Amino acid sequence: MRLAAKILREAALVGAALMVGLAIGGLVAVFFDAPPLGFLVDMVLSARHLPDMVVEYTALLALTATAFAIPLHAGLFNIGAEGSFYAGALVALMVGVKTGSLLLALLLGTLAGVIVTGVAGALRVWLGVNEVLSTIMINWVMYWVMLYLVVDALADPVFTQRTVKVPREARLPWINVAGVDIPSTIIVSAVIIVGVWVFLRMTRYGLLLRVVGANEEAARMRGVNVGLYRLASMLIAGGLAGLAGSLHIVGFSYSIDVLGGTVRNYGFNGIGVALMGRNDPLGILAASLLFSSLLAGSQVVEPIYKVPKEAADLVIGIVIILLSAPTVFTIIRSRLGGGR
Amino acid sequence: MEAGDLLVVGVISLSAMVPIALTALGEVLAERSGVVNIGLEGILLLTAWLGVYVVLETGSILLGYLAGLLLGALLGLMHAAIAVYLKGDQIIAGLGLNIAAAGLTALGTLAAWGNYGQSPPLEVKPPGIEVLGQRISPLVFVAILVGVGIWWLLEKTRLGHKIKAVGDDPRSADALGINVERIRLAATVAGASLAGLAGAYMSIDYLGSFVKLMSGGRGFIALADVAFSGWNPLGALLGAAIFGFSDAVARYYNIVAGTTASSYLINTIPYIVTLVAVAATARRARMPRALGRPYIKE
Repeated sequence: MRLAAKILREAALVGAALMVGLAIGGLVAVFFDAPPLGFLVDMVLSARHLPDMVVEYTALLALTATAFAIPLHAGLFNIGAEGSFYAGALVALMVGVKTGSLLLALLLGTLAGVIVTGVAGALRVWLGVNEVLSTIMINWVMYWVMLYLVVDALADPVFTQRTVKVPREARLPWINVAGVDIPSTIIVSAVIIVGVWVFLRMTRYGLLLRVVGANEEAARMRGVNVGLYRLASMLIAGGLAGLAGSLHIVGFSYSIDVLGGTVRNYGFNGIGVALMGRNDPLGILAASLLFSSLLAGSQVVEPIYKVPKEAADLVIGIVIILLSAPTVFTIIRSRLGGGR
Repeated sequence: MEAGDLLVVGVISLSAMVPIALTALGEVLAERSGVVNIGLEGILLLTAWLGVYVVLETGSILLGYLAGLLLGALLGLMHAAIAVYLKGDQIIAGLGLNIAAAGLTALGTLAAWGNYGQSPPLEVKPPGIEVLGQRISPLVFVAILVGVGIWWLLEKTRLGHKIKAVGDDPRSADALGINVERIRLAATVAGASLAGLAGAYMSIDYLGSFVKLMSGGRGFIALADVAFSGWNPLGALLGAAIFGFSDAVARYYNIVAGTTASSYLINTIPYIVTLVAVAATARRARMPRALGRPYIKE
């Protein structure tokens, strides 16, 4: 019963924050001379016209959100999913084009993600560099490297607005569910998320990882190698984000546009998804679906209501700000718990 | 690069240093009191937008700066309300502000100027003195004065000692009769105001217009500068000069070489320099002990 009450309370909290965020989205609509209620309803519901996009976004955001959630369980703020996503996408594209192998593209893309976020993890554990700073600097470096590769080494000689495409044999096939074609990235994503959930909740390592995050001193006194667990959390996170980037290339977009729009913001939005999903795997899945609907829906309604799709960013940002405040309850509870 | 070019780059560095210096100095003040503001990037972006908007509407550069300063203070007040009074998560609140700012400025750009990317260029020329064909803004001197001023405040005044006490050991400070929450509120608002000034500078003076996402990670580079400085205002000025220089080198090469594929690679320089500088000094840095933790009375 306590668990049910907890879930209910969290859901009420997120729901309330979402209502305020949407209300502000409605104000934006008024500002752009659109009917607020019709705009909001259409923004959330019109996503159904783009089922493949919603499914794809959900699959990717669930992975990048988990890439934020796992280091947070170990007490680290990983902002680096964005950079690892780029790395995964770039390497998957290169490997896919060169070898034509789907498996190699996914494996090496994932590995590239591991390395990129792993650098920040190593800097934190061995040199004490704040991971928020290092991951953001690495994101920017990867952003410019991505643009460089997209217009240079990976540029398509004929279609100048995008890179070369992954060949057919290295693509992940789509599936047909109830008459609708959707990318099968969602299946890979779901399997991985379930695996992570099992790891966190049912293994000794997962338990110790959470102990490291909840009470560093207690973990140290028990003889847990705190640095190793933190590094591991960042390596796993990098792998998840790298996999997401690779999946997007081999399963959905097949190439990257010259402005990088194909691969941008999945990492950053993952942070919002994780926060809204309260770092819980099921919460993350639900929040991914909601975010994906908002992001896809805001694109559908943009030409209809003449309200920019960035309205969705504003709504998301406000929801996150609101959700940051009531952590007072968690803090008080953990303090009381620590005193027992 | 020849000696003359190096001098030009040096002068550009001074202009490039200002936004990072002002933002980092404000954040040194806030962090010394124990409050982290990850939302500096968002403050820079919002105040850059407002600064240009006000100058375009009123024709007054001074009003543009004032608007930036005030909006910065307001956003600082919001962050302080969450961080200090609601005991919220400071990192998450800041991340939210950054996302909201990106969305809001995009909406504002379309609403005000009818396009998705940028404002029209400002016609009013910002004040300054000419050196080697490059204009040096008076804000360069303001930034240096602010740096020395905050150093003096923290090291030589009673208020400064109170701020540091609150950031290091709020419980003892409270026992000594210092109002922890009020000091943190004041330091956070003052710090965010400086970021507001920096944002207005970027659009009004440095670039002469507002461009989508123009803050380009400078809020985070400023945060890195704070860590690099060891939470010392004079160190933050030095750090800002280093980052300003690497920014200027990148800009200079892009002007000389034109925008080619390799200019994308050159753009990575400031971020790599920042990362290396922070990594090289992280071990010896001594951060305020209660940094990022809300103070809850027992």
